[in-house]
Amino acid sequence: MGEILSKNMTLIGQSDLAGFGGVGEGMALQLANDGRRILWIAHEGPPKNFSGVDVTDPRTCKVICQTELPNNNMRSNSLEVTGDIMAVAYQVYELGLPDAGIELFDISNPENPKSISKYSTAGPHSRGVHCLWYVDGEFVHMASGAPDFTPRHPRDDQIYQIIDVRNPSKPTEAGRWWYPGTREGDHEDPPERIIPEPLDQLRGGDAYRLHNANIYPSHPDRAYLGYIDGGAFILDISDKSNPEVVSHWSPHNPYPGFTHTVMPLFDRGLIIVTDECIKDDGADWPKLTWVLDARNEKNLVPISTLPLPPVEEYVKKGGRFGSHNVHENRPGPSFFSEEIIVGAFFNAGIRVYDLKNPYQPECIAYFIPPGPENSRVPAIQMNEVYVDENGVVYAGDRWAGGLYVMEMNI
Amino acid sequence: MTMAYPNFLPSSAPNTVILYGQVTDPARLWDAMNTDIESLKPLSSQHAVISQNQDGLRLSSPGWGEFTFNERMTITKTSELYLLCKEKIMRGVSDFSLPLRQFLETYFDFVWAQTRKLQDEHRLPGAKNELFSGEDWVFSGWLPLPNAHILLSSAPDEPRAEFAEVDVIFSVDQHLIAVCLEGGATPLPSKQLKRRYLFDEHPTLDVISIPRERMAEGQFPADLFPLALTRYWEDLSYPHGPAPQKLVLQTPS
Repeated sequence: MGEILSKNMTLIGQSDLAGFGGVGEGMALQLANDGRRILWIAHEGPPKNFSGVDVTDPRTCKVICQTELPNNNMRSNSLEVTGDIMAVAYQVYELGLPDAGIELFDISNPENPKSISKYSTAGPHSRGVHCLWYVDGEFVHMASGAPDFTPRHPRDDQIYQIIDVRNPSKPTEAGRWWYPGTREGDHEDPPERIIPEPLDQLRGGDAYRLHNANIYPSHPDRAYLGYIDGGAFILDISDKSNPEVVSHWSPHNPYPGFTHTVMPLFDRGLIIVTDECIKDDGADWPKLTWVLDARNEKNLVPISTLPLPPVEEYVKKGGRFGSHNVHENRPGPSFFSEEIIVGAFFNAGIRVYDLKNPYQPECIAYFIPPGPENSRVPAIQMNEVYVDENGVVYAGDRWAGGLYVMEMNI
Repeated sequence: MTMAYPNFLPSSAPNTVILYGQVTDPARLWDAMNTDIESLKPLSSQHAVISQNQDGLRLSSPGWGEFTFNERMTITKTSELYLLCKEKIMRGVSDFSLPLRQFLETYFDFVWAQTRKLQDEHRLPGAKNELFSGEDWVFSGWLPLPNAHILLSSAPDEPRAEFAEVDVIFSVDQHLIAVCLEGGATPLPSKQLKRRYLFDEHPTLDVISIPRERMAEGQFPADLFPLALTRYWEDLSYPHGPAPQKLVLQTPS
């Protein structure tokens, strides 16, 4: 165990999530009817489905709810909350397993979430849902396989799907889009693989599938997609049944793929694009967070990347080193800034950037705790970050460390 | 966190210092200027020093535009010179500050339209074949200082000067108007503290917050501002141009 490395950030609370401290890519804050503030956390893998943590006083986090997955052949890596409804993503470990899809929960009583409905995306070529976005109470935007979608490549199964949940007890598909050439029967040629990997390994890179879809109520006609090796897409979704490409930008190759998040900063004419590190010990270095000039949304231009600490030092710390995801400026009880970017960078911890001059982003704060006990790797692996409207930062370790709560002194 | 900022207008240095334009590190710029307040020019393309008895800063105030000889001599129309003024102000605003750029666009459009309107309604001095035209009153419009950083502390024992940041400052009739464009951003404690100090303690500063929905209308929200800002011709006998006369007489080297 090492020491905390930090600058302008202070640890104020921590929870090992009752011994199940592997945190996935989903965190969302609920303002409960009784005044409590409940942070909902997706787990990296089974046996736990999701945890609810009372963070009304963020210094004394208390787990008030922890649920089990139906079986151990699945994971619920992603979740979102709007009001008292939570959407949870279900991804299965083998194609064709039946639990693939999403589930909506009524969390008005946070100690006792009740299932409202399930929406199945199970099928012979589907692993279900990896990530979802649900911030308007009307539509879930998700990366999922579908019963009727046959990809040309087995890892290209998770496409962009829009699910209408205005009647949460009866979700229905409103639209879908996929990278042209990835579906069996497409007229387009299949895309060239960036770094080919064996076909029998379902997880991992070498994929033209969706990771994150970000859609903001202030601009409901635009979807911002991180399409893994396909790069970043902006879609016009004014007609949800017929999404159309506005523009596309990809640094792959020569850069090694896996675009994760595409986050617009509307008042700046900028877009933040993260490429997720997916291999330990620097095997896929460099995985960068890009800053794009998006003043002309049809001509995206990279102008900088968020600076990271020295690679020669961090690849030796263990686990992954590089970009993953960022706090996404979502509506609700959430920090919103188009100048300050807060990101999770695996063993480089949580890092805060000042983007006032987007040509020269500056790291103004960071927090890197020591590697947690019982982790698969010796270093921290910050996997997810959420910042509330008071500037309190919630972050999760991928393997064992659970929840870390920090204040930014900026 | 406590701060002991000096007064903005102490008797020993009766000035408010504002750095403006493309400023990403005001403390560094201030260090680079390497001067004391009293020896600063009142106005340059990067700073303004507002004294207690100053009447305000207009587009016609000398110093901010740094007009080149070629610029001055190749422009023959008031409208062209006005556009050049606008362009010079816009050059000081980041391409990635879209609401601020929009605000300034609407402000310059407003002043131009207002000047034309005044000609019709109030018959301000100036007509064809006179020394100046009616349109020249446009340069009496108040000078916007965008991306304004107001010096809070410059004590010698302070490691770095501290600044409060607002979107635009106007200096109008011995008052400062701080314009804040509301964008929904979560305030950062450090910036908020300095702004609060500025707003609370500055003796002649008024704050105008412009809601996002007003900016979305695409018009300058004149009704939110004091009359003095929109009636910029009052108390003036005739207009001045933005380039000082000595520059007109200057010959190229």
